[in-house]
Amino acid sequence: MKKELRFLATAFRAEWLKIKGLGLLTFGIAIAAILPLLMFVTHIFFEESRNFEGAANSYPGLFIENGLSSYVGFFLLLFIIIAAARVTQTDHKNNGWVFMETQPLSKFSIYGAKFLAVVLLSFISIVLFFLFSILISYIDLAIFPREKLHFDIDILFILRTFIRVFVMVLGIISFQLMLSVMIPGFIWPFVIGFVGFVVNVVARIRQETYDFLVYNNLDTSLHFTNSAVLNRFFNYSDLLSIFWAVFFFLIGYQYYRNRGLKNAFFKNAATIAKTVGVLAVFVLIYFLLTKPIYPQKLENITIIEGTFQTDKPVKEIYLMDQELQNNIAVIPVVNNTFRWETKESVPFSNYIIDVEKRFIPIVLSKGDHLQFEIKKDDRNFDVLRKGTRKAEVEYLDTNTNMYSSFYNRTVQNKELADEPKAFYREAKKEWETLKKDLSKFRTKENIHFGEDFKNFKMQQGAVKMLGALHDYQMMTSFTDKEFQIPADFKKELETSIKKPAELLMTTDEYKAFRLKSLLPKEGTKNPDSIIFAKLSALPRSIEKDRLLSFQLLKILKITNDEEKRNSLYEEKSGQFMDSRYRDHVNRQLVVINNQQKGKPFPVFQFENEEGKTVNLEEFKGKYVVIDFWATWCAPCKETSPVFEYRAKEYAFYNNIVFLAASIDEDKNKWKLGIKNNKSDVTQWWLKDNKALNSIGVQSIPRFMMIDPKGKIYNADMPRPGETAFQEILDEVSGTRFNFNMIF
Amino acid sequence: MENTIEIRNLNFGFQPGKPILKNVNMNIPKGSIYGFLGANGAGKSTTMRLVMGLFNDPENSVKVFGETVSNIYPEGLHRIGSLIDYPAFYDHLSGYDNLKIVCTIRGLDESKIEEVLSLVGLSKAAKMKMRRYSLGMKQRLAIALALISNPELLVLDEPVNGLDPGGMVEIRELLIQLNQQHGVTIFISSHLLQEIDKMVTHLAVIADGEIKFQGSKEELKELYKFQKTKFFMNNAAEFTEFLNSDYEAELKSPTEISVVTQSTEDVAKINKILTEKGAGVYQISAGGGLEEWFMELTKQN
Repeated sequence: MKKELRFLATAFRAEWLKIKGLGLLTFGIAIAAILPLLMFVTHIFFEESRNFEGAANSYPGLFIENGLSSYVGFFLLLFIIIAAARVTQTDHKNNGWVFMETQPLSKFSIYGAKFLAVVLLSFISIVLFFLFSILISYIDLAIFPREKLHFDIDILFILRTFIRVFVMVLGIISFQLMLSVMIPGFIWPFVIGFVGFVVNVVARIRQETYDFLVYNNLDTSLHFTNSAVLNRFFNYSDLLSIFWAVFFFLIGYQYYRNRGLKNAFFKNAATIAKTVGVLAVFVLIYFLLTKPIYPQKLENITIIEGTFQTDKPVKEIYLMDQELQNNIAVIPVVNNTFRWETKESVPFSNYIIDVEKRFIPIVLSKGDHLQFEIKKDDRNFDVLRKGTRKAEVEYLDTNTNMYSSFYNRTVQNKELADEPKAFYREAKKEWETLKKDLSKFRTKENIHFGEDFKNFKMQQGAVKMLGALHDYQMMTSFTDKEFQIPADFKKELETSIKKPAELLMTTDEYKAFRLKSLLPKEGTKNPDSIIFAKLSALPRSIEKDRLLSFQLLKILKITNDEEKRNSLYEEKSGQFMDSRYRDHVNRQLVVINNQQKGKPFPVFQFENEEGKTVNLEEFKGKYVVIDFWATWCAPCKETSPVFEYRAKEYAFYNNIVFLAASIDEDKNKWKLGIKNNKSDVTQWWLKDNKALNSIGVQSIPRFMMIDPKGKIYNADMPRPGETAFQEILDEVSGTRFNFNMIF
Repeated sequence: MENTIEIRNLNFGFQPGKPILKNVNMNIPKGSIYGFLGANGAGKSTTMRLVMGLFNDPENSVKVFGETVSNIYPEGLHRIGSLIDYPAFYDHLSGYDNLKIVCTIRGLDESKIEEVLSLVGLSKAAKMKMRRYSLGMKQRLAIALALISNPELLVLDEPVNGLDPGGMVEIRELLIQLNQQHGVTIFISSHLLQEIDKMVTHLAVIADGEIKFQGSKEELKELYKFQKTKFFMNNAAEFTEFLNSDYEAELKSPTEISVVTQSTEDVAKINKILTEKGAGVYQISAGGGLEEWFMELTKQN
């Protein structure tokens, strides 16, 4: 053993001498410097690229994080492919292997020295990348200081990132070395490496992960340029890299030592047996490393904890249920840390954490342990999640509003009314796809859903499907055999919702479906009154409350007359068993009423650009179109310019005033934001930025129109880019004749 | 006398049923210059590779320094310098740097580099990149790479390939000097029979994977000393027929007849026959030479 190490050291020194003339070291240094320099140069020439609007952060750390994916995923990868090929090419040429093998060196040391040489070259390049990034980020920030960015270096973060990067490329180094030793030319290892790169691109587009490909492992690892997100130090893909490094080293070395694959692995019965045995061990280890991860649930306790990074300390946060948005717990925040635990049972459901009116949706049940790192300032709200339920959150983020050709086209457009076979075939396909996606889904940390969530999503999908099938039969026929739902399909769907999860019953899909089922199949002229009638007949229960509130809200929203709304509510309010549901409807009713056209718009205090206190009285006699915005609101950056464009278009009409009202907490930010604004829009600052909540407005941008008498004309205008917005303007400007206005 | 290399009953081939070496037996005595002769494809390179451990020898037919190849390598390679097939080096580096690599691997002092470069006559080209070396220069450097560690044994496959006549003489004299002054055993193969002739103490001839002769030069000379005798006269053609009844005679040129002879008596008898018939024999010389021996030996298949 010691002898081998001596050989290895000697061989490595010789190998390093050989590399001297190849220019690889220079190449490695160059690729380490390219990205940081490019980023710096971009910052010098393009002012917009310097804008930073995120939460306070360490600039060197951010610099590294931003460049990491491109550096490792492309430049370093390219370097490794080329280095491995060059290092072996020097011996493929000019009888180099014979030269080495007639020296007093073992074959292991000859192969191992090449491996170590490529590893060292990569190591040097990575170190330099980090150093260049830090250095250049310092220079960059010194020349272009930005408010939220500072020079501090989080040593632990950088060290951890560095270690992970080094580990992630080991697998590819080993693979490329093996290829280059086996294939004497320069071209093929390069082509295979390139194919690996292309496969990564394809995998990203298809949103798939190929654990069995060493190149894709690198991509998976690079998904987490901010390692703080990971539940463990290394991601499973980092460990796979080490696995591949050992595996391909063994294959490459045995190939070299025995001069060929056949000799190495298939020479005789003994070697074949050994090959099979070793292969079996590796397969076992592979399956262990790629085993699905189900985050450990705690026994008998549920914990929610976290830390804040914020300039204005947060006092407390609230845990609410999603359905009714009732407070379940008040969690105090002390020294920017919070921790809430309970030994009581926590029903599996969707919940919300309210951080000063910023909402974090969560999935929770007993035994979960959620950890948060929240960065908050007046512009940003960055939430980093760790712990359990990661797969659930990721799935909800990516899959809500996913396009489905069945729902978004066939069902929405009421297609295939005369082709039941085709319709049910599509439906079945949609259902099968859902089942497959749910069972396959995992995060890039290989984390899977909890059973409860998976079942819930299946049930939700089943209910949605049943609703769509019901609508189809409503449209075609319930009785005609042709249009019957295929028996096994129907049975499968109904079985899955036989024992509906509590959470399922809070979803809109479920409520809509249950209500639909109350209606007579032959159709009716008064579906709503039938539903109300049937609901009143139901015995008091939470279930009834849910359905009743769903239906009641639906009707209230489309009833235009305030008196009619109120009386409807009065009529039905007595039927509620649980006051929470009744109060929920009531709260919504108040909002609807407040935003009712014709309601007086509340008196808000504004400040104009000169600092004078003003209010909407100034514009009595004119229509006022208001754009509620703020400097930290990203979507507003897109809508405000369009709003200004409209203001210019309608500048001729003296009876319309365009007003932009900012709800920035910091008046100075607003002043900076409107600096040099030369549009036709009046710029005011809303003194009480919580005022909008009073009329039930929770988010911006929000567009409203007030009539000449100071009453609400439209509390929720379409966005200025939409045709409907222009149509409303045309109505009030008099260019469009609107009968409603005369009578 | 100790044998530096001993090969016993070596059978070797890459595919079963297609042997490249058949029952090869060779002894390279310590301190000898052992020549290895054979046509292209006869098996010289293969044998040398087996000696160097570049091919597997599962039956342990080859022993170097008294031990089997699998036991003695790779440490044993410290005592051996070699040049197999064609010069091996790194052409993106200079001659000096190539030698430096050997020094690093073998733990030699860097001062040896200058020494060995002047020995092979490459001192001026030391810092030039090897890809710009001429064929002769590459060959010299390859020899330098083999020599630099002062090995006990040199295994050289066609070392004077590509050198001009002056260069060949230089290298030949260098090798002889190493052998006589430092006792270096040299195992050398070549096509150039005249060169080999001038330098070897022992030799082996291989044809089609079989050894045709193996032993010292004296032994070979003995074996074929009188095999042929050349008789020079005018109008040689007229006199050939008189010998044909009793001897194998061949007309080599208008002035030369070559006759197969077994002993000194034969020579005297033939001379008498010729002169009695009126031939004016003006020169008699022994026909045995390395080339003749070589052609003869390899002809038998």
